[in-house]
Amino acid sequence: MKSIRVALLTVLVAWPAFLAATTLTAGDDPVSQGREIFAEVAARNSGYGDQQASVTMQLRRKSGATTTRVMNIATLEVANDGARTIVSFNNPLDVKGTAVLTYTHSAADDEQWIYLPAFKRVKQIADANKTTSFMGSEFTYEDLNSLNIQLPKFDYRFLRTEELDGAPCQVVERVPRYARSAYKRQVVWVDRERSIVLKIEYYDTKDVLAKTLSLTKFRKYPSSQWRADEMSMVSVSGDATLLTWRDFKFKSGLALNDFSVSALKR
Amino acid sequence: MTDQPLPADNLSVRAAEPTSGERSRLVERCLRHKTSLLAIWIGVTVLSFVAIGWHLRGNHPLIDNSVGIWFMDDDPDLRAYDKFQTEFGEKEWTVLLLHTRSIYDAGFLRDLAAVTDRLARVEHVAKVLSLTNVRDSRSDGDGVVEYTRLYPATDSADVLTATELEEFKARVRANPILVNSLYRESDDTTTVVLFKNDNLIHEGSPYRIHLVDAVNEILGQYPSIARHSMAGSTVINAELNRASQRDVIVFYVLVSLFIGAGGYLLLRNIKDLFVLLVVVTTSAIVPMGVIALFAIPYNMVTVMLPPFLITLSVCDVIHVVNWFHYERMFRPATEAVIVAVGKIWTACLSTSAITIVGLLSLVASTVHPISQLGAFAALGIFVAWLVTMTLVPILLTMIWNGPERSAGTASGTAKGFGTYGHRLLPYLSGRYRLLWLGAAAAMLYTVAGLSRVEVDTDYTKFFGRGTSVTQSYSDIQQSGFGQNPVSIVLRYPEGTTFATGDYFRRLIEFEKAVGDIPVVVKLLSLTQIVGRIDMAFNGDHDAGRIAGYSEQQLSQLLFLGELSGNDDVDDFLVGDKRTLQVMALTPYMSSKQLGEFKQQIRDAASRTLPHDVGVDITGTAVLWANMDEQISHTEVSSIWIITSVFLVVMPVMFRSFKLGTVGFVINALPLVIVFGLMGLLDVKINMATALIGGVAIGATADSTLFFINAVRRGFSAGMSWQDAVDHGVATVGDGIVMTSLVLAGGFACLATSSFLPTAQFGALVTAAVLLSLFLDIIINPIILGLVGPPADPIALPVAGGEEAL
Repeated sequence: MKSIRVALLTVLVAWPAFLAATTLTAGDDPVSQGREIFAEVAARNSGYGDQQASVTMQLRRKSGATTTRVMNIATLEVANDGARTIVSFNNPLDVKGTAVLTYTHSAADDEQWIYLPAFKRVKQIADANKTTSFMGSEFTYEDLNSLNIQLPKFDYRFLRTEELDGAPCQVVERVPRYARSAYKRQVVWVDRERSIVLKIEYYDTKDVLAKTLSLTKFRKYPSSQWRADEMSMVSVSGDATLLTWRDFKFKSGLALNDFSVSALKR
Repeated sequence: MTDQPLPADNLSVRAAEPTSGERSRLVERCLRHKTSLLAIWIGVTVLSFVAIGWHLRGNHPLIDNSVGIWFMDDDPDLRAYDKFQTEFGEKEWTVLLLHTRSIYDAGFLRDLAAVTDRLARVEHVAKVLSLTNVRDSRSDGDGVVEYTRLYPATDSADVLTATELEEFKARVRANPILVNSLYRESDDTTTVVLFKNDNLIHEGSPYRIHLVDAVNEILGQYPSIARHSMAGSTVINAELNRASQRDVIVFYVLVSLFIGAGGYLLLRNIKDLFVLLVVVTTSAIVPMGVIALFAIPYNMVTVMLPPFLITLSVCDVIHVVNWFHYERMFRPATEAVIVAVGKIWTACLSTSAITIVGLLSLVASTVHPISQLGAFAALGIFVAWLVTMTLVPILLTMIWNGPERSAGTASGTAKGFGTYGHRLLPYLSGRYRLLWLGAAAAMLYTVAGLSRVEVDTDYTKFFGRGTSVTQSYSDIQQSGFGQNPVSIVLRYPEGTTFATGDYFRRLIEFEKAVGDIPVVVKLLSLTQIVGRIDMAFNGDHDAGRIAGYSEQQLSQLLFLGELSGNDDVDDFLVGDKRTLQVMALTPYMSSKQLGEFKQQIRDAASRTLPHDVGVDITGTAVLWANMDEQISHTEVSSIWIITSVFLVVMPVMFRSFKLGTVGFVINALPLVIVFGLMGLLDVKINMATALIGGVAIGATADSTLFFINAVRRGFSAGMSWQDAVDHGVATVGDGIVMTSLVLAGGFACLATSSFLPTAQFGALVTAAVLLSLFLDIIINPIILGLVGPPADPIALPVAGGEEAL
């Protein structure tokens, strides 16, 4: 009898201690922590409905030569299924009017169509290779797509906290889960207070640093969205691309049919 | 050799007090400061060893046969190539030919897929193209444009079914870009894998060797690949580096053994051999120390430097040793060495000076390694002369400190001095003269080959027939694939692109004209890729319609290609679209053939392209071939310089135009005969044989100068002209034979090189030296005897010197 009481007492005392211990250590798991950080980033980054912006892309070669391209980018959030994006090119003149429609899905492969005004035709493009350069820049299609945070597409791991340009950051490593990525891993600096991405280091399949993306000149828009006015991608080779975003508009009433294949020709 | 008395004839010599002009003041001073001088020379040698040791232990590449080292920094061809590399990436293509039972066998394709994956992971490999990973722009059944692999297996371990194989074969044959580049329509047993690897032309590390070895290792693990061959600049460069590494070891060992053994056989005692080795070592070590101090890597040419110097540096010291022992019969060692050097220092100085000038004539070469060899070899010969004049007398007096021979001995001979030379004399008179002159005249037949001497660089013939490189090139040539990529770079004016106006249509015409040149096996170009993208987007009809497309249409097709993942465009078009390349795959061509091909391309360009479009023809093979002009210039300029020096020096040194002319002819003949032989044997002037002019004349001058000098001295001392000639043969004949044999043996060691130009150079210089020996010891005395004394000989200040009885 006495032994039963002792056993019950032990359980009664030990159980809360055990519960407290597991509760305390649950948040220290770097994988969970990493995922939570990015879930917060995704949450803060969503809810914008639709957005439009004008983007100037400046390509700077190591030799000093520069090339400029101008495009408009319109994006529509789709509940539980990523986003729709149309990129239409204004410059250079030989591709003026060319437009690319992308359906970015959360879990499935992306779909893409292109309209070539010189031929007045639209054709779907296979999701073949996102690792190629976007318009000759240091950004690849994979890089641009991943700026829209799609949680299921990566595995995450919290690394450390660190200050970046005076901003306290949480540094998270993310590893692509989708096939044919150009990267073995990426290391991301997330602003702790605003839950926005400030910097990304891209490591190639041989785990060698290939390039670094820096997002700067953030502004907060009425829809509580933080957007960087400048994105600078610098390759270890010395070539760089600067994306300058202007004239952001949110919730301007864009709808799904504005992002259809037939809408491309318009 | 044994001490034997000279025959009791008019060639016996008596001791005589040397005049003040026959005493070397330099040697006198050196003997007074022998301790300091010994310390200096030991210090210099030790420092040189230390520098070499530091170099060996450092991270500097020891051997560098990269493309960049063959050209001066401001070389326009190198600059054009550097520009091309900057624009299109520092990469070059290598051709890998695979033999198998059938390239459409599922098992082979599975292995090919695995090989392709593994090759892509080899360090310094940037891109691999094979039948199993090559992509094509297509429109699938749903009209989706894709740029996807023709080979359907998703895993390299998968094996295709029979149906899949047939579909795969149909896709391969439907793409005209692949025929003659990756497969041949007429042969299903061979296929090519093209891989693009780093082409770091200024990189000295042997990464190409490692890359070639890695590829060979991978291929050896797949039995379905019966055999393989590789071609490209990477392969040749790797073999050059391998040959250099082998030669370094073989040359040094062989030459060292030869000098040691040969020197002992000739000098017949260890003490004199020691003196010889000191000179040889110092003359080789000091320049090598300087090279090490500046961390200059060796290359195919400068790797010959140590055996060069070891061989060339022995001449003066052998003469000094011989004369020392002769003088030592009559006087103490100290006096003997002062007088010996006093008597022959002008000849020593002249021979060394001429050798140095011959080597320095190579410094003017615009082929960097040749210029380096000239500079450092000249330094080595200068060191050898200085050591011979300063250190050797000290060593001889220290080593040979035995009892004096009494002065006034009527006869006797120094070991190895005049022992054998006089035995030739009976064969230089009477009917023998006709025999020898006839033999010399017969040798002049080789002059007929002079008109066939030409510069032509064929790297596939630079290695022995049994080497893997030579076999590989032959194999790929027989298979019908191209093995030599030539890049034709087109540059469009500022403010335009390749697609502006009718540039694109004219580009297509240009490509057709180049494709029609018979040596072109395959042309790879941007227009082919654009054509495939067009067919995928707009449907499969009139393939020639793209010639009429506007700039917008072409640009948008390229944009589509980019979007669908077509990065092959980057191999042909630079980002600003003003610079593109057309790649012509040809069989390997020698530099001469390449020169003709380049002219045909230029003709095609002038017929089809607008005049404002710049055309550059480049590539590693083209760059190497462009060296021909520089090699030719090197050969001609070195011969001109050395000839000019001879024409001035010889009459001045012999103080007679007659003797100077005879000396010049005797020295020029070996070179003329050797060049004639080159023409007759179809040996081309290349990066190594271009050295013959400057080196051979310097090597052969030694014998002529010493001989004529000895004749002149005898005549000035009062001998009759014929007696003076005979006296020359009897006294310096042994030395001439010794030095010639040493030179011939030393350069013959280079003939063992697996790099044929080096072997040819070694063999040809050996031939020149042996010819020179024959001409100097046999023909020269005959000619001098026939032409008679100089009209106005100037007596030497040799009162009481040697005199004939």
